[in-house]
Amino acid sequence: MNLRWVLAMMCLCFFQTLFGQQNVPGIYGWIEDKETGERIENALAIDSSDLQYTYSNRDGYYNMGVGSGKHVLIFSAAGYQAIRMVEDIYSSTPINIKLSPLPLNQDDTTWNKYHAIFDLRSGHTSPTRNQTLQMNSLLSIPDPVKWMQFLPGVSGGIEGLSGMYVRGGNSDQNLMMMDGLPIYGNGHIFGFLSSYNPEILGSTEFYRGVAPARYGGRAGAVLDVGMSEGNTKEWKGSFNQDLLLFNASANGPLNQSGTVTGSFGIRRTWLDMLLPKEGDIYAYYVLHDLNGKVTWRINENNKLSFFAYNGRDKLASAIDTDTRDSLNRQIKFNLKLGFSWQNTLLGVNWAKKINNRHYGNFMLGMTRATYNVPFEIGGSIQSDTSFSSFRIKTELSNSITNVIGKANLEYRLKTNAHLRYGGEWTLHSFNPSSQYIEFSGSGSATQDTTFGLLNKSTSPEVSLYGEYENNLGGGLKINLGGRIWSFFGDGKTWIRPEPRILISQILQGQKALKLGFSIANQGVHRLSSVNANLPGDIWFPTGGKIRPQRTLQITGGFYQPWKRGLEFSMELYLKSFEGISDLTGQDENDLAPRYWERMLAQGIGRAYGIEFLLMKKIGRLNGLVGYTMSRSDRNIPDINFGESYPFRWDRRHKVSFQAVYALNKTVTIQFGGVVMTGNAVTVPTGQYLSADGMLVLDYTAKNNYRMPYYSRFDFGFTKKLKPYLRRPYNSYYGVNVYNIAARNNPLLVRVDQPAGQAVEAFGISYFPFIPSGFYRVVF
Amino acid sequence: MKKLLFLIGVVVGISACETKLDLSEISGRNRLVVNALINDQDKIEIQVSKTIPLGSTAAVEFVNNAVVTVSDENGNSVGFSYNVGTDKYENSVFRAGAGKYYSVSVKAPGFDEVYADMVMPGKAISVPSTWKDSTDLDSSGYPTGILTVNLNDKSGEANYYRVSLFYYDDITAIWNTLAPITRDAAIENEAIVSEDGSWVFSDKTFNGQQKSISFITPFGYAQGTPKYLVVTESLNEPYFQYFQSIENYKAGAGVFGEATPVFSNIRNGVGIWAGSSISRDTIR
Repeated sequence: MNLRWVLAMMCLCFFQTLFGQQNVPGIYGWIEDKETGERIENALAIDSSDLQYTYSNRDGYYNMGVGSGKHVLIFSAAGYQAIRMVEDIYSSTPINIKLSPLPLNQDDTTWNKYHAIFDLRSGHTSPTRNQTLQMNSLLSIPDPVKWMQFLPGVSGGIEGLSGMYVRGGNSDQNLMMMDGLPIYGNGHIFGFLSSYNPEILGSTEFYRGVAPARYGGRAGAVLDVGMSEGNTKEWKGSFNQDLLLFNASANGPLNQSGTVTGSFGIRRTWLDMLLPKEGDIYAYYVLHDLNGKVTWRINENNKLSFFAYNGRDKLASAIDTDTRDSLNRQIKFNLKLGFSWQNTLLGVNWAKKINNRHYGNFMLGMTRATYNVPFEIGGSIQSDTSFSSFRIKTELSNSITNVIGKANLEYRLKTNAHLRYGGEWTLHSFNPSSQYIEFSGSGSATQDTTFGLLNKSTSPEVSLYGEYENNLGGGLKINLGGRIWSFFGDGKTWIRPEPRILISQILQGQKALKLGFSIANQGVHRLSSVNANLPGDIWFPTGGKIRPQRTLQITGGFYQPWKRGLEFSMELYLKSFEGISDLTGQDENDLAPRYWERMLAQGIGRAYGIEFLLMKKIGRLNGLVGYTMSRSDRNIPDINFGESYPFRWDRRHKVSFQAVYALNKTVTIQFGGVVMTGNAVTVPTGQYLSADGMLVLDYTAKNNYRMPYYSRFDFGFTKKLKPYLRRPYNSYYGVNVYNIAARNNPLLVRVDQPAGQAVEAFGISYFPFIPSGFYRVVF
Repeated sequence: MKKLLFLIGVVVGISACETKLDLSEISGRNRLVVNALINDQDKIEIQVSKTIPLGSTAAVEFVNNAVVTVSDENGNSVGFSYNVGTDKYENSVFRAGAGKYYSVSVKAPGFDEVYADMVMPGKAISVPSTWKDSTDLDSSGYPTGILTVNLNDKSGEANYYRVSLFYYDDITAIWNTLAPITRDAAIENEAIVSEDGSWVFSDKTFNGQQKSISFITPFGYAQGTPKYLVVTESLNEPYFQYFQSIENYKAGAGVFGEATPVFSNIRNGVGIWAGSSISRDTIR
């Protein structure tokens, strides 16, 4: 596939739109929630007469070609009562669907059957909002990323953090999106909380396997989270209070007709409100998340959405002293130190139904992640006859900013074929590290300079894609896709094709076999201070010695719905990585030109494994059980003497489960657990005499020690309080215990090197038995 | 309220626990260790030893039967011989030249050949240093001075420096290390102060410029003549990286930190092969 092929397809589509026959039989329309009027993404439309199916897009719009005649149609979505109807269809027919939500505790025996079979995406998971909200994580805070960590093939990295290492890939390979824009920061409290506010989740799509060609720019997994557009009929909301945060959200109509809706959320720490923010000595930590989305359904064919997000963490501390010395001089001293990082997203989205067969979604947006470390120290000495003072002010900062334009279009070609095509343009602006330094003092000139600006750069990234999706009959469906990826950096241009193939065959006896193949490239890279994702991590472009990353993945899966709403799946995968990076262990001057080239080394890697997943999305008992047997390793010439070594988060075995069970109408209990192979860590292989005469440890072997196995069980309950008459809300409280068995799971190694004695190593573990609680009001 | 905050602190506080790990199965290859931090003025000394297994408490074992060769960019090689007194390989005649390429190779029975190469840095372009007395008062009211070290940095390349200051002791007639504080914010912020009191830094904040670094000299250190000695060394990159890694190694890892290895550029072995070019400036 090449650029000409994609352009030819686009031209074909354009002329089809203008001159093509509009009366090809088919159905199209919107699928929405009957109670809230919100459009439902990922809802399934099935023509059971000939096993054709399609999914609603982000805007809840679906479009499916069918043959002329009578058809049995089924519309279904997770958490909703499926609708079955018989329709005579001889032309392009609009059918708008309103699905009724199922009560939380009611089993759905239909959805899982449809979803497991009628979906060609293997390794794809789409948890409902309730699934995420019901499963509280550390400190009783639900988090979609931590929910994903329970899935097979997903490793969370450092315990407690919202990290994701999917099927052996590095975390910078994940495409983490909010409302279609990528998020670069790692969230809050050094990564303990992701940037996604669970209270205003609209849809969550997670691809740990092959993602369709419409997704690109990263070489790994895709987490596509959409925020709620808002109830069109009445205002709804919630207030959640836990030990760390309060979280308030509301959504509803902004005009009488409900054509303009809003969805807003704020979460913030509250402990800092009790602490002083000024005075001689103070220290506080504050974080916030602000989400806002306004959607205007202009008419049947046009919808406009504006959305914004800002999440910020700030740690501030100061000391201020004023004393007199033995010579009766007044000595003043002050020191201020802070950390601050934030993510900002801003976007506008226009959804346009061009005609009965053609639908487009256009987006313009901006995403920015910044990290700042301000430091200021000053002092003065004043006597009767003299005065001297000094002041040093520095601010270390790094940032990445993207301006993004996207166009995603869908076109129904004929009865059983569908075309998706579009493009994406991104302008990356990198500030990998700069430092402002200001010095002033008595008797010397003021210095005032910003260093490190030479590493600032911009790199455009342009992609075009096309997906040809065809129901070939007999339950066989294919999605032949391709993406032309290009990245411009450091005076060079990289253009690479990315084939994406998804094939699904429905088998007799309600089973499905799914195959996938993909190649994905990546032009941005992250330099992490350690083997985790931290706020100070630095993004930089391909260029110089740094090559683009490329991942090739082949998957095969077997899917089968079981009784009582259980979905079973088994997946095999094989991945190979090129240009994948690891830390060399070498420290570098972070203002030097292209300093990351000496801190990272690139090489190849591979990962393969088998994953089993049993999931039940709703019902009195819902949850998942997963098992992974996998292996992932790296081969990087400058590391480990060029010999292969295991990936830091390689998991040979991982068993995980989570379950939510409604004991009765007011009490729900939650269980979670993970037992898995320990981390691969680096320990010294010996000692040697350094040039300084010190006996130092030899760390030249990489990830050469396997920590003891990891085991953790969480337990909690939620109790619904008795509702008071005439109060239009329900309230709940709950308690959760993280790591209830208080097991120490060593995560890091500390090596003791006492003089004259043998070297000893200790595993450091965090989070033994962390209880927490919350109070929640839903109106 | 204090009790509540304490309780919350206990509940949400993250506690770290340690468990002893069994490293008995860790086996490392016994490898050669080659250490040589050379300069353009002094005799070259190369230390060759063996790594020590992790569980061993044995002393470092020096290798005295190795073949140690240093070659220049033209392929000219010189051999080094073992000095029992210093446990190092030496060549009393050979001197390294500033800006020149040198490689070292060490062959010892029972080990793979180890080797490394590097380019010696050019001489630091130093402008004479200056010293001015009684520029300020210390906390006890005694006058302090300002010693200004001047550097002319070459543009378009990364340069690394080590500045060492000494004062002259009239009574013992020897130079002693002076460990002053600096008034330069950028250097104060970035430099590594080594255990011998020298300042190691890069030119990242003054690339291609003339740099004046002011140090505050304490009262009572410059009574006779000469007064101060300023030793300015231009370091090559491996030398600087070695310094940096030693500092990081001593500091240890952070909360989520990984191992902090000492920089090594010896292939098939460990150690350091790096160089510096020295300039000396005496203030009388």
